[in-house]
Amino acid sequence: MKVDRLSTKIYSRLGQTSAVAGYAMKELGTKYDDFFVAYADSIAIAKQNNFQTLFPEKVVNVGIAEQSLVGIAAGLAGLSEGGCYAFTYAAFITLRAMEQLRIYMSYQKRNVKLVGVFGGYTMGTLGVSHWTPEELGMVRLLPNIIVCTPADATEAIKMITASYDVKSPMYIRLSGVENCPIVYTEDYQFRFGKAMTLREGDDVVVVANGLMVNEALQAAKIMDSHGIRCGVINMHTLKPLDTEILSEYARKARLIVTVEEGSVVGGLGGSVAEYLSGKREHVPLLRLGASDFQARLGSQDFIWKQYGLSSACIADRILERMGELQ
Amino acid sequence: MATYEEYLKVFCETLEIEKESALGATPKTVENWDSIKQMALVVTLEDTFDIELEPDDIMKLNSFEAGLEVLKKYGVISVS
Repeated sequence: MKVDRLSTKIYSRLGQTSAVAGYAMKELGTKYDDFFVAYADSIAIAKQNNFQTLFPEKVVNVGIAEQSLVGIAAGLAGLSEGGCYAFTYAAFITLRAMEQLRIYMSYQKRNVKLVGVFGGYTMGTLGVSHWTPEELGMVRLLPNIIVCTPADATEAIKMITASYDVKSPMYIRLSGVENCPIVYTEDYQFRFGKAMTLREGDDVVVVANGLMVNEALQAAKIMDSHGIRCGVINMHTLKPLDTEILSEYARKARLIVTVEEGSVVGGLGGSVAEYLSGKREHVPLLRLGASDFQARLGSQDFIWKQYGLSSACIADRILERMGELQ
Repeated sequence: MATYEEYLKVFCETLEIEKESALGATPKTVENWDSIKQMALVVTLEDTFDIELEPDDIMKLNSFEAGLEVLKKYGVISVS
C-alpha cells in the first residue's frame, strides 16, 4: 500500500471502514483465494458492496444474526487456509455474540478475524445499544484472541492487511469515520503486539489506542507549553500487550497515562494497571476513558467531552496529577 | 492557474486510465471508477489545485467534463 502525504489524506477522507474495504480487502481478495468474508446483512455497513461484486465466491451473508455470524465464520475458518473475516457493527459482533466468540473462536483457536465497524462512540446519536465502551475489555478476557484497534485509517489498512498472515482468532475495532484524524503520514512497519512510540518524552508518557492516539498527540503539544516533556505511545494491540515498551517507560517516566475510547475498567487502562501491579516498584498511573457512568446521548465529540476525552481535558487531567505528585 | 493538461494528467493518473480514454469518461466507462476512486479523485483535485470542494460539487464530479466544469467554477483552471 502507498503511504505518503496524499494517500493518507485519501484514506482519512474515506474513514477507517471505507479505507479497509477499498484498499485492504481489495488487496487481500486479489492476492489470495483461500479465505471467506462473512456478514450479518452488513455488506453495505462495512462498505464492501464492491468487494462482493469482485469476489462473490468469497462472500457469505448470514442475515441479521450476529451469533450465527460468529459460529458460521468459525466453521468457514476450518474449511480454508486463509480463515474467515467477519464484519458488522462492533456492538453486535462482540456483545451479542460473546458466547460464540468464547466457545467457537477463542477456545478452538479458529482463524477468524472479527472486524467491528463503528466502534467506540462513533454512533453516538443512535444510543447505548450502538456504543461499545466495554467490548475491547470483554474480548480481551478470552484466551488466544488478539485484540487491536487502529489509530487512523492508514493503520486500519495496515492492520487488516497484516492480519491475513496471522492464523489466530482476532478482534479488530474500527472507529474512525469519514475525515478520520491522520496520525501517520509516512510509511512504517506495523506489527501486532509491537507498540509505536510516536513522540518521545519522559516526564509523562501517554499510552493511547484508537482515535485517542490523535487526542493524546494534541494533548502532548499542550504539555510542551507547560515545560513538560510528554511522550505518546500508540498501543494499537491491546492483547498481547507490549510490556517491553511499558517496562522501558515505567523506569524513566514520572507518570504513565492511559487514554482510551472505552471503559477504564478492563480495557487499555486495566491492562496497563495489571501489568504495572506486578512490578516491584512502579510509576503512578492515571487512567482516562469512559468512567463508571453512562454518558448522555449525542455526537461522538459530545460524549468524549462528558468523559474528559478531548485533548484539552486530557492535558488538564495530566497537569492536575503532575501537580499532586510534586 | 492550472492548465487543461494538468487536469488531464491528475484525472488519468488517479483513475489509472490512458489519456486517450479521458474524454467522455464516466464511472460507467471506467472500470476502476468506484466510490473509493471517486474519493481519491476528490482529494487529489483538492490537493493539486489547493481548493476544498463543496459537497454539491463532489456529487457533480461524475465525468471528465464535469470535473473540468467544477474546476472552472473554483477559478483554478484556464481552458483555451
